[in-house]
Amino acid sequence: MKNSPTVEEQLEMLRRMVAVRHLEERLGELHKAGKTRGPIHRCDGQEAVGIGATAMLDDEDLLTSTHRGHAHYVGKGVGMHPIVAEILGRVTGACAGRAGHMLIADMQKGLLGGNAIVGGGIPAATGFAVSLQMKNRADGGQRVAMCIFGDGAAQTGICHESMNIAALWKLPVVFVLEHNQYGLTAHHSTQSSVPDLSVRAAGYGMPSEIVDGNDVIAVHRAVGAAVELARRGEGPSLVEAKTYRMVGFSTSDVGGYQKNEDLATWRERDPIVLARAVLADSIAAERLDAIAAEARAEVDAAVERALSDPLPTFTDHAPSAPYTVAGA
Amino acid sequence: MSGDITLAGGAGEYMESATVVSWSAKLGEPVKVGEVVVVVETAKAATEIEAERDGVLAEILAPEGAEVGIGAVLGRIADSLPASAPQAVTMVEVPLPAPATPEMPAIVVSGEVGRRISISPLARRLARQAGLDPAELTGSGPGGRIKSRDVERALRECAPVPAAAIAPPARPASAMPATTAAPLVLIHGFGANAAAWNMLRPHLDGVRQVLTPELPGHGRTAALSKPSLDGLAEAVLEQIEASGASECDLVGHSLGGAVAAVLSGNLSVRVRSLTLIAPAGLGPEIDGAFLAGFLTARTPEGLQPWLDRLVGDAATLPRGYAQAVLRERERCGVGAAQAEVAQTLFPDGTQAIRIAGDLGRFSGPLKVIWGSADGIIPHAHQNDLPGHVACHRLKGVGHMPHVEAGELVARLIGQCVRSVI
Amino acid sequence: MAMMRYAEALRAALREEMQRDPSVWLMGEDIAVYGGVFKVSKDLMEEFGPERVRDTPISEQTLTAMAVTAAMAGTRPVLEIMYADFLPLSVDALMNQASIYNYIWNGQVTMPFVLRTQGGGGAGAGAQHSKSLDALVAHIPGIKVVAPATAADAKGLLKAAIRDDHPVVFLEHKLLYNTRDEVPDGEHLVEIGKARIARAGTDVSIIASSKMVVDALKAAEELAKEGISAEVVDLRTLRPLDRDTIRASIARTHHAVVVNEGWRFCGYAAELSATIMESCFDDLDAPVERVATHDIPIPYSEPLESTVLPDAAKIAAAARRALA
Repeated sequence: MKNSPTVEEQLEMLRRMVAVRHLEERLGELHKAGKTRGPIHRCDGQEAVGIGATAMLDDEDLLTSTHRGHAHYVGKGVGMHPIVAEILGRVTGACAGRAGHMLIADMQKGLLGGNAIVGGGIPAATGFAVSLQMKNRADGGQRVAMCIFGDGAAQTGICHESMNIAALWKLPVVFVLEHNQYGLTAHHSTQSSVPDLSVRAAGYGMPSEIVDGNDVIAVHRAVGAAVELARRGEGPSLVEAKTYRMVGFSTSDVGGYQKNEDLATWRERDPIVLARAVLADSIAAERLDAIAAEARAEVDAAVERALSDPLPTFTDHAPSAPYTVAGA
Repeated sequence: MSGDITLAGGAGEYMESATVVSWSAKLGEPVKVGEVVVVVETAKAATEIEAERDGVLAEILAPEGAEVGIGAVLGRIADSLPASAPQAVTMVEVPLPAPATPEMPAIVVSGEVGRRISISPLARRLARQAGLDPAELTGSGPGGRIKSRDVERALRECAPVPAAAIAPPARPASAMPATTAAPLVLIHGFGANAAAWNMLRPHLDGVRQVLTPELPGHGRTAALSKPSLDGLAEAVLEQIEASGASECDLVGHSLGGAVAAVLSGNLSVRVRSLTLIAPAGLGPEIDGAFLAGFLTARTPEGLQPWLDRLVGDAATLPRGYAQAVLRERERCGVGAAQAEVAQTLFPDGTQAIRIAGDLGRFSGPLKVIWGSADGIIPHAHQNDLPGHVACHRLKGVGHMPHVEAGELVARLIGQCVRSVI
Repeated sequence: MAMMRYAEALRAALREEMQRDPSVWLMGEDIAVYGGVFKVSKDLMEEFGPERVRDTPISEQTLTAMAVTAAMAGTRPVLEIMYADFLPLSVDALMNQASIYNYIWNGQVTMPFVLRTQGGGGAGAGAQHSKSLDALVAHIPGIKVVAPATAADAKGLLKAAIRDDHPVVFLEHKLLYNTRDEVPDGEHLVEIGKARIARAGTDVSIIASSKMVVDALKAAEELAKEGISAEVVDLRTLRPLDRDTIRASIARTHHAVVVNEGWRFCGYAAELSATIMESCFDDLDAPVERVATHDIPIPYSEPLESTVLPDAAKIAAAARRALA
């Protein structure tokens, strides 16, 4: 099938999903131990969206993420140690400790970046796409922008404004809706007039598709098709990946609003279990175990190293910035 | 106890000034809280300002017709009038006169004891530098605020006072003779300004006229294009002449001492007596490291160690002195001018000026005061002075006797001045 | 030197920079086919094509956010927001996006975009089309804010803003577009962050920007007839603020009147006043006088509008109060 990942690509996506899951678990422990600051927004159970949607992107393609972006960071190729060190506020972090876990960016990898203003990534990716379109026309390149956003962000005014402009100007941008059913504690049925948000794409004259967000192959296939379209200069698309948030909104969420039977149903559809099952026919269990162990070890090593890294000292401004500490 | 009647208290906030239309209460009349005391007119409407407390209308600061700014004090309500009231209540004007009128009506600052003096930051600084007590000044700004022009006027007025016009001394027992018209002229040292005498002046008991000229390139006096000892002396003489004095008593510190010595023989203003404090010009030695460090320091931290060297006991330096020196240096650009003075008069850390001849020729009373712990110019320079010079050596005192031992130095100056025949 | 209208000077700046650098492009409502409601981008679409001069939907919030990231991705957008009154829609993108990235991403990105807008009252445009929101944008770290008063500065500053690697909010004034003055020929750049002495004087410093400079100059003319010598400081850049020029002026005059067409409370004039208090206290011979718009929505009818807005007479009165 077109845009289906190869076995090797599937193995790499599995490795990344396991790494992200283990990262989330380690962060949960570190948060409890008081080693992190502020809330942590975990993406346990949603890994297939971030990993599957980004697998076909190059470093020159620009991705905007959300406040729940760990899978997007890893999917876009940012190293595990700079991610962990940033979350632990170390000078060795991806942004030298200035950004924190919600706002990580890596220019070299085309991750620009986490965004904790819900919906903020949508016009951001649209803006990237204007520049990329101009550059592509100038040099024949095929760069694309991608925005991964949630069902909460889909309700903002800027989502409408951005999709209208993206379609109007045929911008090379792919909107990936990571539909995890909840905006903080509110179920999507209390926030949206329609259950399937992708129907809105028709209003902009933009193609759309709904996929199983826990099936990394399905995500890869659908998003890959959308990326192809954008690379060919045929404009934006919307892919709605249905998934479910298995943990609270953040580490400060006391829960109580998600139904146990829903959680149980989705737990059976764990994206890592599903991805491994697909590979089990062709790959020996030992190799799959080894890949998983390697992924977890990478996270553990990054955590160990970051914990002993130095904290930053305050400096006046970023190397090129117009900021001042004492007055303008 | 008294309370202010302010414009902000009664008028809306959408205005910048108002005109006083009428005072409903009369001076000395009792007023009650909530009673209308004054009506002001803002841009579009008249506003009544009510008393915020019971009492007596003790003072009207903004007369009818006056334009006043927001927040201005229009008058005061007191518990009761002083015994001599209501005549004692000062009726003052707060005019916003046509700016074409150069001289505005003077405003008398009410003499109420303990009342805060309203003075602008600039005027406060100028008064301090000139050694004037703000309490003695008359303010012409809104609400009687003392502005720089009031300080300048006070300096103009006190300068050319003819002998007959000198007021009788308030305290005849003071250390200073008050019967002479000759001003006491205090000449500061290198790197200082007129404010250098602030610690000494209280001990002079203030009844006679004191002039504190400033050396070129110091304080507010313009630098000379080519500094020389004679040039400095000439500039100081001009300032003394401007006061209208025909004779004076001279006191000089350090470089100012050398300037005083040069001036002792001038023909235009007769010098009656000479008091030199750690004067320059009596020998080749001077602390060159101090000069270099003092001139190049750019931060209080860098300057403080050098300032400490000025005195026997660092604790005697006024707080914030380093900051004040640096501020002035930065503001007035005096740093470069002073560097040039030092380069010319003290090249290579050596005194290139001589005053022995001037002292030898001076026949009036002559004192030289030195601290035994002077780290800038060695007190040994005192040893070879001629016999007619009275020498005082102050134990444990550094290069700043007038700061470190102000009372004693004032007494010695008084002796010298009084011994004029 | 050529006599030029303020709007023409802006247009010349856009045109020259677009000719010089193919990565410069424009977007905004009604700017392409129509040439902008104030005609600043007239004929530019014909010259540079619809890709570099883009008409947009009415989507200020998104357009501002797009300018931020388009700039990050390698082009130099110049966004026109038709009225400064619409800036609140842009503020999320300025405050939560543009302001933060260079710093929190540790210098990984730059954002060379310009947000042009025009504000100010006096034209009877009512409460939603007359505001001066200088303080709203000047409050944001990492954003430069310029507000030229003359055609020459309009041109020189806009060219400098387009070449700047960081976000610049460029505040124009609707009543200045038709004012004319001499604009230097050829390459004319004005450094961002440098004020100018619009009129030298010795008695009082009037510190203003944008159209208030015009009013301040009129006030200075009036004051001169009364024997008062007023110095007018044209800030040109609101952030970063040229404190040195302000300090030097007040060291000469010892009296300050700060003027801004924005609202008085927490307004830009308040920042000027605080700055002067912090850095010139010992030089002040009177409290700083503040002239600003009354803290009310700007009303429509002429006598109402002229009551709430600052003007030359109010500035002159403030100068007289300072010198009282």
